[in-house]
Amino acid sequence: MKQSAGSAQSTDTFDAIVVGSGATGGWAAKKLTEAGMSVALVEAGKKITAKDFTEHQQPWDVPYLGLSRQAMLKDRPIQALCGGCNEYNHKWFVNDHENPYTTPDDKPFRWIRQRVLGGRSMSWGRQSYRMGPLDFKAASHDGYGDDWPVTYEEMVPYFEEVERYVGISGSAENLIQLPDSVFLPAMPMSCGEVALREAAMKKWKRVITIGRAAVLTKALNGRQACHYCGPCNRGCVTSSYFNSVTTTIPDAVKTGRLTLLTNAVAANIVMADGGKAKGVRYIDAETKDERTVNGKVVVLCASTLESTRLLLNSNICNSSGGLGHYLMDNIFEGGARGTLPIAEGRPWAGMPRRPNGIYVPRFRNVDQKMTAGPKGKFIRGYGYQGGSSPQFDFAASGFGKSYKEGVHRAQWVTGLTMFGESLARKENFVEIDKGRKDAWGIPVLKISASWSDNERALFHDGQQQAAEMLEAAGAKDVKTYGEYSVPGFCIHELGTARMGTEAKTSVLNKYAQTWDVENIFVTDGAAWVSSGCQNPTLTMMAITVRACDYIVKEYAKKIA
Amino acid sequence: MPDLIHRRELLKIASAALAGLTTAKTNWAMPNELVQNVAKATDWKPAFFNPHQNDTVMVLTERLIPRTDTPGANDAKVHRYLDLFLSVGNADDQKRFVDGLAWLDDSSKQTYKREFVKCSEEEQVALLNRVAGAEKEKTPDTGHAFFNQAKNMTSMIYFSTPEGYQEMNKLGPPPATFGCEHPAGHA
Repeated sequence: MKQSAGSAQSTDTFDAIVVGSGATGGWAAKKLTEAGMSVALVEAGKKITAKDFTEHQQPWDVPYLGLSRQAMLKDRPIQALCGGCNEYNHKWFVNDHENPYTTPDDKPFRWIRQRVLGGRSMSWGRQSYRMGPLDFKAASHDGYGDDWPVTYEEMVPYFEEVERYVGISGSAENLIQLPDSVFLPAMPMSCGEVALREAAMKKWKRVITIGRAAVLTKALNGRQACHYCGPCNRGCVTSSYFNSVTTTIPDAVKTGRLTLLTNAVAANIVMADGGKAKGVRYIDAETKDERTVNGKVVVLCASTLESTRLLLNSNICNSSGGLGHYLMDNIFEGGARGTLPIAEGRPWAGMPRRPNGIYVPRFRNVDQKMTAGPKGKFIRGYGYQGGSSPQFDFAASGFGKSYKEGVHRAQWVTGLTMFGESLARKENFVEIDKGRKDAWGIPVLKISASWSDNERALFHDGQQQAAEMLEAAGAKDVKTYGEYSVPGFCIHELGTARMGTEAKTSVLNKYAQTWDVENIFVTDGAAWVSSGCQNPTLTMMAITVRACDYIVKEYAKKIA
Repeated sequence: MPDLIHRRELLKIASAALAGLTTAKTNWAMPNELVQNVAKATDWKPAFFNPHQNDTVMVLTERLIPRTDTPGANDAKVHRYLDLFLSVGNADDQKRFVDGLAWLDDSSKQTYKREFVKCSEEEQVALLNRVAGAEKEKTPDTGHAFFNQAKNMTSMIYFSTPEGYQEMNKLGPPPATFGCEHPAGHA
């Protein structure tokens, strides 16, 4: 029975409840409703539409010219640290005082979140890379940790389905460590990037490719190709980058079987007698009233740590003792920059702004198991995001007319920043901090995570190799930069409810179904077994589609 | 991350010179009521500066980024934004700037026996020349520190205005499309 948004009656039972409306939750809602199921989509944040998008605002349209990063410190001291949180879109990010978490004093963690319809798909980086055979069987390759219970070959049809719908622009490179996606035409590289690509290929046969981005370069399903205005993280009225608000959620709504509950802060899963989940108890974000929505299947897509938090607060799904453990992120912020001696081209203000950079796929430990870097040996690897473009010299010396002239003495500023894999370790974990509750009375997480020697060694190797690649391209004034990123700050937090082959050592089976409660699925980053170094959202969406496929084709038969 | 993480480092590279503003101890609290864009206000009055300070800042910013063949700081109302940022800024930044303005007048009176705003343009430039050129020093003295702060803020604000965009694009319009157009290679 259809319900109006915001008021599900507790006597009705939906075929499925999906918690979270971000990249994965939107897909779950779409797939399950399209398959004929009634779905309640429980989203903690408020509803937004294209009217809330601000990508075409110019700096002089906002009070502080978009320069007021620190102006957001009052309500969002942690969120304001993130480059993607700005004067235009900061309201999509959580109020840190309402959504606290705790950490040990010596283990800082930065948890960057958006609570709004669409979740972090509203402001994500759009970089999209498949996890490959080297990742799904990482443990078989080098002996550390565990393999995934699913193979790359099993994932391929789901990658393809997601890519054909989402639209990933990029260039095929035929690399075993970074399988190609189904691609829309690639965005162009700049002169400096072409020079860098040629130098890396010539000296090491290393590939530098255009970023693989969930940004359309051709019209798709009524969405327009990107017109290069630049600030995707503020929304997009042409739906050119992928977020769930302009794609999967409208598809679900179109079926007539979606009940969208926004401002609904999920608190815990309600269990029936007999060991199955009955529904989700949530708190109205504004009135603080408690409600319950009932469903035959519960799919958690609340984001890695929120999904695990729900399970922990519900006291379920932990017969393995592993719930909350094996938290991972990507270590990043290390790299190198320099200036390329290119005579052509000059900088400009305004459009076109390409919403993408270049990408260097992992070249470490593809054939061998371990590499000796400048500060130690390491397994696994890292990729780079970066770019090269002519930049004004705002640091030109002097003042007055000569300063204005000096600003035009442009340079091809070129940089590469590494994004590295982090090893799954039991001692990186989250638990409930029973002494602390959020603004809705829900107990918060205590997050204990730190890097290991492997991440640190990998980081330093990444810096050194970045410098070498820039030098090979003839860059001048090459300098490495960066300190170890604070864990969590890459916003690729993964693990804590991992998949596995047996209930003793994992929380989920290969369909992202919890071992302990057969009608709960967790399809977001919490399911991950190893982190890889690739940006994870694409693979998360594929895992979600695969889980929904199983729910519709296999599990639904059981509960019909 | 998001874009959350996309090209965060590249943005840092591009604005390394303007680090004085965004990474410094500036701590602007967002005011409760909606702030109108100050450049467009028809009845603007400074929220932080007193009238003399405001007059000084108008002259100072115009010396830093003057009107040439393109608009300058006064055309872009840079002083209004400077006033706004300081009005919601932290006490340290406010003090440094106010002390700096006082230092500027002291320096001017010592040399020319009159306040900065009353000096000729040549005299004003000569005063500023004494404290320019120390942008890279880690521990500059009062005059140099103030100059760095004023120049960084003025530059960052100016190049975020329509006038600044006009200056940046004065050598020609942006390219119609993005990307390398040199199949034969580069110099």
